Amino acid sequence: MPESTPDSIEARIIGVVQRLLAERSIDRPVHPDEDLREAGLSSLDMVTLVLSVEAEFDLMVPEIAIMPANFRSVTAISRLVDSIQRGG
Amino acid sequence: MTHVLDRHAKRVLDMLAAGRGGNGPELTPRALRESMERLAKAVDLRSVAVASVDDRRIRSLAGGMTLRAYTPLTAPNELLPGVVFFHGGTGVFCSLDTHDGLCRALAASSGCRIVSVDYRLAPEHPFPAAIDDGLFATQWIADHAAELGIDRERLAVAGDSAGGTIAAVVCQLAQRAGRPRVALQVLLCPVTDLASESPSRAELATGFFIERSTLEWAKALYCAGADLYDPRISPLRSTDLVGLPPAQIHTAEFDPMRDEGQAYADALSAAGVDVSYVCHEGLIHHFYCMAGAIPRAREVLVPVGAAIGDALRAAPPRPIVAQ
Repeated sequence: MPESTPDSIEARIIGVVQRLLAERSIDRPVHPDEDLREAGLSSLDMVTLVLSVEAEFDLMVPEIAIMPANFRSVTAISRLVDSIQRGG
Repeated sequence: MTHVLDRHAKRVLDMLAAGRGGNGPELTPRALRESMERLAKAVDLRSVAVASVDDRRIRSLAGGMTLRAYTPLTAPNELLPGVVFFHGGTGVFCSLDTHDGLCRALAASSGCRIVSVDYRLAPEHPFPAAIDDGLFATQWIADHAAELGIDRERLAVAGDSAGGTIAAVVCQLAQRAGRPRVALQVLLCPVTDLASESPSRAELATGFFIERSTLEWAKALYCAGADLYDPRISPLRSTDLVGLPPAQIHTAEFDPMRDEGQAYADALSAAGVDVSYVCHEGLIHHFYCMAGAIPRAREVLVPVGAAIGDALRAAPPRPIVAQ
C-alpha cells in the first residue's frame, strides 16, 4: 500500500470525526481548522476519537503526544499522524 | 496497593484530559448517552463469543421493558445458573448496548446465563423508577427461570457502579419481602453511599474517569430531591444487613467509588454476610467496560466471572425467610 499523503490523512481523519459527530446527532461538515470541542465533541468523545484514529491508521499515539494541542482540530491530528508515521 | 496506574488506564485518562478545556459542549443527558454509546464501540470487547444473545420484551410496571439474555457456549441447552445484570451509568446514561461486551465476558467466564435489564433512566424517570424496575425484573426472571433455562435456586443479581446500587438494593428489598430468592450478589465498583463524600471520592475527584462535577449533576437528576439517606439510594445506610445473600464485591484502586465499595463489604461482613472483596490494583472506574483499550480488564474479568459460576454452582438453596 502506498504511503499516505498528508491530504489523504486529512480526508480520513475528517471521516473519523464526521462519523463521531453524526453519532452525536451533529450533522454538518467539519472544517480542518475548526476547534473540535467547539464543534461538539466532549472529553469522552476525545477518548473515542484518539482510539478511532489509532484504529484507522493502525498506530499507537505515544503517551507524550496525548495532549490537547495535538487533538484540537483535524489539521492538528493530521500533523500528529503524519509525524508518527514518518518517525515510526 | 501499588499506587501505580495501569499504563493503558492512564492512556484513557490522558485522552480524557486532552479533551477537556476550551468551549466544550454543554453536559446534557442526551449528549452523555450518545458519547457513552460511541465510546463503548471503541473500547468494548468485541471478540468474546457466546452461544446466543436474545432480546425479549416483557410487560413491566411502565408498560414494557427489554431483557437481553446471554447464553454461554458451554452447555447452552442445559438449565444453568443465572445472573440478573444491571448496567451502571449514574442512573442517567448507559444501556444494554454499552455493557454488551461486559455481559458477554461474564457469560463466557462464568458459564452462567446473564440477563441484562433495560431499566428506566433519569431524568425522564427519576428514583425510584430504576429500583422498582430492578426488583420487578428480578422477580420476573425468578418466576420465568425455567423458561429462560435458568436454575431458579441459583440466581444471582449483579451490577456495576449505579447498577451495583440497584443489585445491592434489590437484595435488601427481596430479603425483607422474602422473595425473590437471591443466591449471590456481585457488585462491581458499586455506588453505595450518596449521603456523604468518602475519602476516595475526595482524593480522586478530578481526572479519574468520572468527575465529581458529573457525579453531582447526575445525582441531582437521579435523586430529584429524594432523601439521600434512603437505603434504596444509599444501601450502605441500611441498618438491617443481616441475612443478605453472599456478596462478591470488586473495587478499583483509582476509582472515586472505591471506599464506599469497601465500606459496604465491611458492613455486610460485620452483619455476618459471607463476603469476598477484591480491590483491583492500578485500575479505574468503568475499566470492565473498556477491555478493548485496557487489556488487563479482560484478564480481570476471567476470575471475576469464574468466581460467580463457582459460587452459584456451590450455592445451597437459601431458606425462605417470609412468604
